[in-house]
Amino acid sequence: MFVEFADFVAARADALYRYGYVLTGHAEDAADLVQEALLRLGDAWPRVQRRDDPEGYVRTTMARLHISTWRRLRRERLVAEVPEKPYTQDGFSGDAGLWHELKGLPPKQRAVLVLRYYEGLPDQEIAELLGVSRGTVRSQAARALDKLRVRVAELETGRVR
Amino acid sequence: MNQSGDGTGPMGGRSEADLVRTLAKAADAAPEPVGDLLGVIERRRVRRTRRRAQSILAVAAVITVIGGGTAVARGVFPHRGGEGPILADATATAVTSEKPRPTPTPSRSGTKAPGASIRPAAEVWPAAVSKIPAKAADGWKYRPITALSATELLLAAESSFEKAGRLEVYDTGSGSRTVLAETPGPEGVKGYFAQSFDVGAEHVVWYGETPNNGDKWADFWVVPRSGGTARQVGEVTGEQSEVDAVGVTADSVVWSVDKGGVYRMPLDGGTPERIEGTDGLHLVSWPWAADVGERDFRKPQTRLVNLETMQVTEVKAPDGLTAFDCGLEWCFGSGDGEDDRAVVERADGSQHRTLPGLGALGGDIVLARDMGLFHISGVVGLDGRGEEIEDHHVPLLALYDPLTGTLAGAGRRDPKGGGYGRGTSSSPTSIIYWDDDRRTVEKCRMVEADTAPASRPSGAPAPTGKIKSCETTEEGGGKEFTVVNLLAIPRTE
Repeated sequence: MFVEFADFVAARADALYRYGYVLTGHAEDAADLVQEALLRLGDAWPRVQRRDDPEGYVRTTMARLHISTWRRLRRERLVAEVPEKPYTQDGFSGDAGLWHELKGLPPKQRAVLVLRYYEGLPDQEIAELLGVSRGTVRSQAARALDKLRVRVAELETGRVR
Repeated sequence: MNQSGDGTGPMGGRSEADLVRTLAKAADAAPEPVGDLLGVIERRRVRRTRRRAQSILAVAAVITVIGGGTAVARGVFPHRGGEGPILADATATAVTSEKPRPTPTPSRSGTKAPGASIRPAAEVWPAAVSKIPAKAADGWKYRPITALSATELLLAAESSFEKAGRLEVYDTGSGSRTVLAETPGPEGVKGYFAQSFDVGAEHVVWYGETPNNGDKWADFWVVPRSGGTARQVGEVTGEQSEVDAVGVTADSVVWSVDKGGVYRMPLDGGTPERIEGTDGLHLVSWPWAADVGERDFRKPQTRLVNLETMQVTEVKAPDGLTAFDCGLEWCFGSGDGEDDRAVVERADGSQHRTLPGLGALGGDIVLARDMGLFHISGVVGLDGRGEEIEDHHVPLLALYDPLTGTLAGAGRRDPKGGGYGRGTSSSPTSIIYWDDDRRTVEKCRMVEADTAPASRPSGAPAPTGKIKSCETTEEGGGKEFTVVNLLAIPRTE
């Protein structure tokens, strides 16, 4: 069945914003990213809604925007603003140090990790989504994991896909 | 997957599980968005001039339906990875046991979905339903556009995704296909995609553009309905190039633009001109235009104008409707999803009737010959967890003929969803089709509860142990389409 664009936005904006937040590590960037992606979806809505996957469309747009010039321009604009504060959000019970280091990764490396460990996508899909080779996905992930000192347990099979 | 306590893994001892958990928890703890996220989108949408998305977007057709019931309350959108898209699904998948989902049994005995009595189109209009190959002889994929007659279907054959390279006509009487024309696009233009096609009395017309660059540019092409070599009529730039609908008359290409307004350009080339008195109008199907375009959301239609005579028909949506869409003589509408009730009336408000159990598909209700397309609710009740129970034997869609009052079922519904496509013509299409061999499948696997990425609504108790993480995709098909040709439906008034 069809869904109105407004209904889609109302139903999915929160989840998309959270996705944007792990992708960018910044509340403001996340809001910008999700807004930009939703605007693009809105432009294309009559067509996309007739196709199959508006949510996938937005998520793909967000990931691509995140690693594109748009993101770099945005960050450059932000440099002049308030320096990044340490993460002290109430209720965050994860590894604050790890989260902080994640935010320091280059956009592409970070995107690969988010797609792999937050979105749970296999490397092949990540490669298609970002428009890079599977080898690039692997090398970017390996470099990022190495920086974060994350052990990759190769013998384990239980990784969330 | 091994765990490392509360996530503060020792230096050098972090695992992938820590990464999964940290990302999920960061998402959960994301600070409130700065300002009014949704309001900003609405305001920016209104004022900004359209910019094309970066990905390839041309004509589109196939809809996938995931889950059922009401649109927003359930998982209409395929979701990725393990991220539970909506509360109902997330709750359901966070159950620790492997208890199967309840089988669809009505909560009250004898309860039937209101649409259960709608018989499939193949029974109601056997002459209008046929099977056609989904691919051309050389493997290019067909994308149905509209029917040319009771037996001829106009199809675009695509060399790659949404790249129409050729027009073919499939004859459902003889099962034969012929090439109508190649659609090569202008020489030297990179990233060109033929967009909407439309069929006039003598010509097939289409426009094309380069959707992936920022250029405000479009061009128009025609080929005789009997076939031949496609000919470029002309090119436009600026506001004129933001085409939202196209058509062809005996002597001109006609089109409307996103901002409203209808233009024409002589078939033998020449300067495009704006047709007087068309401010705010969007082409429906020449000579008819309306005051609602495909990019107007939740805006009920109020005017229908015949551009040959400039005769105006005022239409008024009955109160309480969120969708209202008029063809040339009939109007269709429905309320919010919860409502499951469609209304039909003549453009002058007469012959008003209500169709229970049906809902509008966005604002896109009208098909060729003023037939209506509705979604049929298959919901028969709620289960113990408050989730909707669907009857999967109810058709996905209803085609409604206001002239005869006939309803017929269409589309593919399966236990996990369903799908259908509509022809991509600019004018209301006369083709509805689907692939009977495709299946919506849900793939689930058991994962450690706290490694499942953000799989539960905030506030829900944290599951422990193994939980089920699911995603929904489509599989199979690709060989054959079942097509309903609305031009082959017998009608007697």
